[in-house]
Amino acid sequence: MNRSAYQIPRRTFLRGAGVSLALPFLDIMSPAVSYAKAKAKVAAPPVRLCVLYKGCGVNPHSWDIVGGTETKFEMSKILRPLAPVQKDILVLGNLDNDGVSSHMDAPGTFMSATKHKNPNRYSFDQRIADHLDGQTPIKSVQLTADNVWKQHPWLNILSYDKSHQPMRGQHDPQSAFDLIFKNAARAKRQTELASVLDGVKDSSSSLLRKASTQDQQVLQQYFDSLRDVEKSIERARANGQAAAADPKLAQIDPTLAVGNLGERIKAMMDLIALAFWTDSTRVASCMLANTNSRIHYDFMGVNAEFHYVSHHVRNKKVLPKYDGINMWHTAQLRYLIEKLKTLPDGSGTVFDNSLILWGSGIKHGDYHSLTDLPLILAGGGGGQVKLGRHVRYPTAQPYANLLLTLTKLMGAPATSIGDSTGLLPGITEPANFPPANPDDGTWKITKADGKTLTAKGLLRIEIEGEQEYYLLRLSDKSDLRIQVPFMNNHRLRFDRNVGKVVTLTGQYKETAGKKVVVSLTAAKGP
Amino acid sequence: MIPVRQFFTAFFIMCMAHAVQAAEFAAVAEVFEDRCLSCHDRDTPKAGIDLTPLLDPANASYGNHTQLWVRLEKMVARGAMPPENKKPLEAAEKKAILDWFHQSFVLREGQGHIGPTPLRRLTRYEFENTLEAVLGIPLKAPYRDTITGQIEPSKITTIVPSDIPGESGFDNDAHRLGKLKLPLKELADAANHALKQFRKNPQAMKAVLGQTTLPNELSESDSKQLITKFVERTHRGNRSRLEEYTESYHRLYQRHRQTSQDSGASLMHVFEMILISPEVLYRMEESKSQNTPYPVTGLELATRLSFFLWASPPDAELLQRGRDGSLLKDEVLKAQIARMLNSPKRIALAENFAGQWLGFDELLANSEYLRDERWNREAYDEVLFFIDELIRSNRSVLELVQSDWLYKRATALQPKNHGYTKVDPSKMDRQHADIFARRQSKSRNRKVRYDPPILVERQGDREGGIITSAAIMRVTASKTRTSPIRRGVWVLNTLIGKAMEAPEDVPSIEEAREALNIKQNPTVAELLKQHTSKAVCNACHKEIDPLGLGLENFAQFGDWRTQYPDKAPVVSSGVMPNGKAFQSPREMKTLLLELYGDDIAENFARQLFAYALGRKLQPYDRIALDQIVSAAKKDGYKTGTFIEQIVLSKQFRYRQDR
Repeated sequence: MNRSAYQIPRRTFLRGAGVSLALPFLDIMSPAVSYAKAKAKVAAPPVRLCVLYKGCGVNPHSWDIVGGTETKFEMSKILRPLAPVQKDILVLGNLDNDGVSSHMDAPGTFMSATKHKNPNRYSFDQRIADHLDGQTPIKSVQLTADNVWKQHPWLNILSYDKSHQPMRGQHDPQSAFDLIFKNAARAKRQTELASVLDGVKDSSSSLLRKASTQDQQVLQQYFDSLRDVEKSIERARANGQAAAADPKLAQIDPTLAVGNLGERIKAMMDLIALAFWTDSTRVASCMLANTNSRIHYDFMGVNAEFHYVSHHVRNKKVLPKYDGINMWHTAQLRYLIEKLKTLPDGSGTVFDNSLILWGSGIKHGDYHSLTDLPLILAGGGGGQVKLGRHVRYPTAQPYANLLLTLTKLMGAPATSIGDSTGLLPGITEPANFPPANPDDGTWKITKADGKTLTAKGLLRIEIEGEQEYYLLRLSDKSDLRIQVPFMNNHRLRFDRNVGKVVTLTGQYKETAGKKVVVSLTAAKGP
Repeated sequence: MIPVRQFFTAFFIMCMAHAVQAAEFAAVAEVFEDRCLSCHDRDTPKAGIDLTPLLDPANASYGNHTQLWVRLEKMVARGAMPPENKKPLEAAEKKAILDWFHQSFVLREGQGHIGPTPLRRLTRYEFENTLEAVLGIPLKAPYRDTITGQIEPSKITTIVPSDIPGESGFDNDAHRLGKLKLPLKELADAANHALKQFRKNPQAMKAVLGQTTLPNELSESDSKQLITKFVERTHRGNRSRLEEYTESYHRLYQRHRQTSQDSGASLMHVFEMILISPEVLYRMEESKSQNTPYPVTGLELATRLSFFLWASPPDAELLQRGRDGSLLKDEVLKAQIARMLNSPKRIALAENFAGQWLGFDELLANSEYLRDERWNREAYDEVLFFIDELIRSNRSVLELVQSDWLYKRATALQPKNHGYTKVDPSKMDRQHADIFARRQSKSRNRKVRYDPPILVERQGDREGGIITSAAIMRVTASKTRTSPIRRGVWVLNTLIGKAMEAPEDVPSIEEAREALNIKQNPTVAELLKQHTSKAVCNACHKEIDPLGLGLENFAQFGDWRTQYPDKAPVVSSGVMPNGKAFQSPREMKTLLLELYGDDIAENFARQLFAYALGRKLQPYDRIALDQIVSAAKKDGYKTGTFIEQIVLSKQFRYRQDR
């Protein structure tokens, strides 16, 4: 997909129009203008949901935003690639999923907010897709950019259907393209297939009656699938298949061949954008990287498995690579955001009418913690979401509440999802939470005798390459640098205080008039 | 705790007429309470195990807690619980638990049984084979004796999504397939594609329809006859309601014919319906609605056997033996097994069964492993040929670990054998035909020709078996480094069949780190040593680590090495859990067989049995499994004995509905 942003829409518009004539809010291209104008009057643009999952967690210090206010905040290291679209995202903090999670389980728990090994996996995107069923040619699209494991397909599976069964993702962009755009356009084959299914129903319907009760349940699955395919064919027809005969369609030669992960993800983001734009589907998910990802990001100079570098605690030298990969993934989100913003939809863009959830099923890449998940919302959700903010909940909220809220924003009826307790505040309206660590003027060095000092302040961490050091922000806006040996830090569990107001005691040295703490004897959090 | 148990016990005695049973269970519950609950009750569920529910007699037989019972019984039978530092169970205590388990979970009302037989659906692999068999056309990517630069999937696998393995670990798991949404549209597209190939293939047309081309207009009787023929061909010998089907499909044919351009198009249209009909996609068997085992019919057995050994529908001879009932006789059945193992279709066992079990199929399926076409094909073929040799020459399954022969990639013997000696085929005691004979390359271009691997004698101490093959060494490593733990876990999980699940109550890593006193950037060996110094880690790592360390001489692509890229020497010595030390991979493998040989053989039986039945094994399969394993053991664990014993088992030949 080495095409510039504007070429693709042009070409796919033709394809999309061929599929369904479903470009109701597109005013820039003549064939659809009259239809679009007619339809724009009667309905508001639909809202679309896209879930982007990036496994393997983050290094919390590189992720967390420290300080600032809800609307004025400085992007953290991993979020920095999103700086150009800061006004288009909502970074969420302090949302907890419950229990534990494993490599295999993380995507499932992320999508359903049910506990580890809980078989109830009906995922929130599918609840929405089931609700919207029938309104678009394709009910939902599942994509997986990470490599598919024959033995462990779970790793890559995000969506689970109503009966809690896994739904595989398309790994090949070309197949995904065919699925979304081409199948619906093959009118002759659709008619043929409808007739084939009709015939099977005719000839085999008595089978159900004759089967044992147990076998009947299995066979029911067959006839359910048959009905689903029939419905999707009807839908494709109803969506205006006449234009599928457009000779221009046949001339289009999609270039979806991909080499590395970067090309694959870009192709998939384009596909999602086009599917949304043509209203071919309103629900999409994409596995950018799974939680046991063995991909080597060698295209960006990382010569080790992503999963390997995510276990960084005892192997700090991988940290720059780990952060680098995560930054690369936030950059993919930025790509999708910018792409969607180029696609006109109603009086705005597809971006304004989309909800994008970007996140990981675990927070800490090494500890596999499920608290304070790394989450970003993007897209206006049809004017419902207030963007350009960083909302950190003062007390931890169930992550499930976010899924419930998104489901509601997509117009699907749901009273609970997983362990949800209610809707999440601060999504559609300003949260106005009091700042977490207000400077009360007491942040300062209270004692310093030339050898030992005691100081109070807001603890932050700085990462420079493989080097990590701590900074204690004082009320006078200066920073006290803390650089202590690993085991000293480790025994005191000093690292846990990052982002909090801490009182510490330790030995220091003074160089060029600047104090540097070189060993700690005590550290106390709030 | 005590009042609860007393209440349950009292309740049980009041309600149950079987006072003897109640007394037996009371004895079991007493053992639980005395010996297990102090570590495994609701308040202190060590390793996440809470045995309190098992005190309830209502949970003492098949139900929600079966898996917990299975786990408990395993630990008790093995003597793994109570743990080493606690007093072991008295013989009578152990017997009470094991007897109860046997009566309540292995037997039903004192009788052996086989559990409900699930309805089986064809996997993608089996569907592709079915299309090839009934249409008489090749659909898989043709074998290439040259290198073209890419590994081509077959067309069918690009149309139909792959199946998802079930609890059995295999994608033919009936329970998984029964619940998964059926990709019916894709299956129809695949059938459609196959039929297009079929119409272009006069040889296949002749074989299936008796004519190389179809006239524009078929007479009514001709079209009807062709439809009958095709229904028969696809229904695996089942002629029940043949007329009814023919009538129905012929009606559909005529309806389609009103608008189609020729008879052939309408015929193919109806064939597509037949190919994706539930009668073809599901292996229906006649049900007698019984909760005790009863034999399946000859034709049903033919289908079961064929999908087990060939992953494909039965051929004419097998159907004949099934139809006349002779297949139900042991000697005929055995003769058919031998005949079927002589066929090229036996490749399903190496390709589909072993490929999934050992995971070497990922080498061709997962782009993560793609190095270059030649390397991947060679690594894959080395294992494929090895497994097939085990079957072809009816050799011991323990040779998976260690053998004096192996298949070596052809390029390793070029230009001058590099010290390898080819094996004299007469030494292999071959019982079945060579199914790879046609793979010899005809290309003269050295650069692009691709030769199959060559059977050679093991060279020195490095090789033999498949656990040191390039394929296995690669799938248990990352492409840049090896991981002794990943390899150790593979040997334990996959080969020995000992599930290595991380306990759910591991202390938070922060605490563990603290306890372990881990310094920054430790070396691999230091980390492993620190792990094993802590009891909670050691319980598993004392088993995992030596197996992985013993393979450290093999780099991630399977090449032999004595030092790491940073020039540090490779140390592949270690101590097995039984205290015996080894200095080389070869010695590790010898100890592996000594310590786990029987486990490996039993695991092979479990895997193959589960694959044959299309479901995870259950406690009620234990009697049959024991029979299979003990018969095979007497016979030196030969693959053929496992296969024969599985086919002869009640599970394989009988059916039960509840």
